[in-house]
Amino acid sequence: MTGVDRSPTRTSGQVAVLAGVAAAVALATGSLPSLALGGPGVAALAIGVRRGERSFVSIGGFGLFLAALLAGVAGAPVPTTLVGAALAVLAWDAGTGAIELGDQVGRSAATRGAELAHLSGTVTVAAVAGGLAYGTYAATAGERPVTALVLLTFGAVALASGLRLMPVSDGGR
Amino acid sequence: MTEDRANDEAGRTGGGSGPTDGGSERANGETVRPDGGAAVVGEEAEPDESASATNDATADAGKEVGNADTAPVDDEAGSDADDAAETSDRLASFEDRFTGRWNGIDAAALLAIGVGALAQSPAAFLVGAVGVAYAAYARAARPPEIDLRIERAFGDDRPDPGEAVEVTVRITNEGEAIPDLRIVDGVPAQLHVVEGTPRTAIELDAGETVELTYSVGAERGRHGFEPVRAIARGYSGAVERDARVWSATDDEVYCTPGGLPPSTDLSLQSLTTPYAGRVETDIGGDGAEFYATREYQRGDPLSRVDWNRKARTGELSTVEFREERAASVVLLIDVRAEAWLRPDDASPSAVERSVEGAMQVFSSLIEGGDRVGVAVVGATDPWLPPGSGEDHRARARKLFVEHPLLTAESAADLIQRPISVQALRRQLPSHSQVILFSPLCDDGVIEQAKLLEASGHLVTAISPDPTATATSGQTVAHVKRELRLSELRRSGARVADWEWNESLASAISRAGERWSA
Amino acid sequence: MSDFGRALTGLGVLLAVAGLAVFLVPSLGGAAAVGQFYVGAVGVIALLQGGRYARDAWRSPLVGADTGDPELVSGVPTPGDDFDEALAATFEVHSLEGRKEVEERLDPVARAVLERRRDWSTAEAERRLAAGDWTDDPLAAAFFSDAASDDVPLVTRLKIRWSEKSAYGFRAERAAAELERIWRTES
Repeated sequence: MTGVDRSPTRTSGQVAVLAGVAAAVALATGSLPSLALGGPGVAALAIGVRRGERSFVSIGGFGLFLAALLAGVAGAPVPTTLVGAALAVLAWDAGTGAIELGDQVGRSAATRGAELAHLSGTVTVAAVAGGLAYGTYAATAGERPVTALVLLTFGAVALASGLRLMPVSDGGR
Repeated sequence: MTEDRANDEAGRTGGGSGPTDGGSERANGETVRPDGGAAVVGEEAEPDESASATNDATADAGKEVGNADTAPVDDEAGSDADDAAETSDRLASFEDRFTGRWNGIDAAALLAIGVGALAQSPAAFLVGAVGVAYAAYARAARPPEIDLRIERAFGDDRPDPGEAVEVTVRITNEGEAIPDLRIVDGVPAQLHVVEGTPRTAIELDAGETVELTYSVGAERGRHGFEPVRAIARGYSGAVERDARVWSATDDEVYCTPGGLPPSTDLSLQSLTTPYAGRVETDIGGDGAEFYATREYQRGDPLSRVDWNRKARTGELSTVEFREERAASVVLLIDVRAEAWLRPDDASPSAVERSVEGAMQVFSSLIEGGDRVGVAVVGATDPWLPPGSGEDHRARARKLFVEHPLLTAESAADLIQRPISVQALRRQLPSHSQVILFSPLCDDGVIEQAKLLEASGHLVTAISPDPTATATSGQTVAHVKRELRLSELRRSGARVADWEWNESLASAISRAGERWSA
Repeated sequence: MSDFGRALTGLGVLLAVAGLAVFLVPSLGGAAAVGQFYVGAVGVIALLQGGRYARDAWRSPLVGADTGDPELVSGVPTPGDDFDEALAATFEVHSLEGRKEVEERLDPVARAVLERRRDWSTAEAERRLAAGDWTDDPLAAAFFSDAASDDVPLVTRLKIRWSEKSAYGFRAERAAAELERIWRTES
């Protein structure tokens, strides 16, 4: 006997793959060339979730995210891009969570409750933030003074840098 | 999916459902939490170490001073229970750490903003804004308070060895809601899980109770449960609190066989006959009646020396009394550190096998009218001189069942016990037959067996085989053990190789065929 | 959060709010006549920053509690565990660790097995081990005999090279398996 089965957990794994596929498809409807990044992204994600390799999951999620940016630049409608990007983040988060929970608790344990709770948090943030962002954007349709854009852009960069998530050192494992 | 449901043994009572909107955990848009950095615990826990805190039976007392480092350190226990009398002091230790789960989302946000700015794409820019929101969400994470009540219930309080015992763990959340709580039960070190899993990951609201069920295989002895490992995270999962929680009930699996096993047909005649010097007729008789003199052997007590004869003829000889001539057998059990071996992670150890075997043999021999005693290799206690009768049986049963060296508890702190052949030979009645129960996985016990054989005790070895051949090392150990068995046989002792999954009866009858061949 | 981080975040909030304000009240926008250039500039900064953070995030591991194996019996070893540890150490290509223990174990076992199963004397057994003609398996022979190491076929050598583990470890493993086979099958 070799101990508990530490493969990635089922629920999050399924959500990850489904969200990845949904992201790729949604982005493709907005801009077909994005599939060039989205397709391999989903593949990498699926392999990562299957094998329990976090690097693959990260690459896959990142690929899907890039596909969203590509779609956005190539002229896909804003809501589609936002939805695609949100699904990409969800897929990445679910995949990482599946691997990590599988390692701590194992595949054969009852883990669905905690997984769904976490994923619901992720989805809520996307919905609220995306909704607010899009709402602001739509509300200001028409006049977009450059000053505002500059201020907002600077502000966003400053925020993203200030909210930096510090890399963790490897001591807890 | 059905498999999923079958594994989902968590039964829920009370409490709500769905994610409670812990506002502090999730940030919307651009609200910002101050101070997400190093002192994640420091700002909340009030170190309350005053010894007179016995009156503070509130959640405060439960908050031990944890070690919160930004560099996660491996398992430093929090300060000890100097308030051990505390009833609510259930947290044995805890540690907070950053998981790094959302690392990279800030990079993605910046990338999106950059692309949006350079390519003049509002869509990309808005994606960046959502990314910033996620970064804030992760930054805002706080480790949840852990205030759990744990109770364990067992399916069978007094199981028999080898039986599966069902363990049900009830976890009640007496503190705030925990969105992501991972539980690993503290199964005792010497027990292994046979069914189900002692782990789960749940969302536990305030006041909610969850049950976790699994089964362990009982082994002889007392086995205490370790504290439960509880790992709690908020919705984002960016920070976790890793705690050990004591159970409110005193949890122990106490497994003891009801009595000595019934004497089964162990074909023991091959064990105890032919035995040079055993006299069938003169069994019984009370008093120390003089019987005969024999040649003196080194180690015989000086009080037994026939001094008259020495004075007369100059020869040393020993007087023997009548009872000694009755067949006496001593069961010698190897309980040294070198004998605590097992073939894989889910099996009991060779010492337990030996004790089981010894109990069966004891039972059978005593039925058959022999005088049987019990000793161990590596210590002079326990020691039961050979005897017979009901009282003797009762004493033996008590020894087998209760003596700490003969149960799995002593595996927790194995100390090296040197073999003292002198001490052993002094204990053993002269000419008593020795049945040695040992895995024979080290050379010391072989030497001792050979010495015993040479000094007139007929040695029969019954050796449970804890070797496997799965890896190179195990293969080498297997061959070495076989070499030792063969060496012992060549010195005149009889050896029964008892395979791990075999019954003792079949091992002895197999060996008996070889001995009489 | 560090003070600098806090300052940046605060600044970010201010700028974002100001930007939103300009959106709502466009008249403010005229005040500072900034050009597209700045947008582009900050875009580049964002990309560079993002690249840096991405590299750090790629390198940082996912950390979590190590839950161990309470389901299993612990504290009681399986015979041969220490040999396995030493053997694992010998697989390191440029290290001599573990070799002494492995040899100390295998040498006496080899002699004993050959003496008993093949009725050789100790001297004979040692001679044959050193010459390497006690077995047909070239890797096993090569463990005890330097002379026999020339007989290891090329394909095997290449496979060992390719595996990034040391030849010593492979030979020790094969020697152990071969000795067990001899003990088990010959009589």
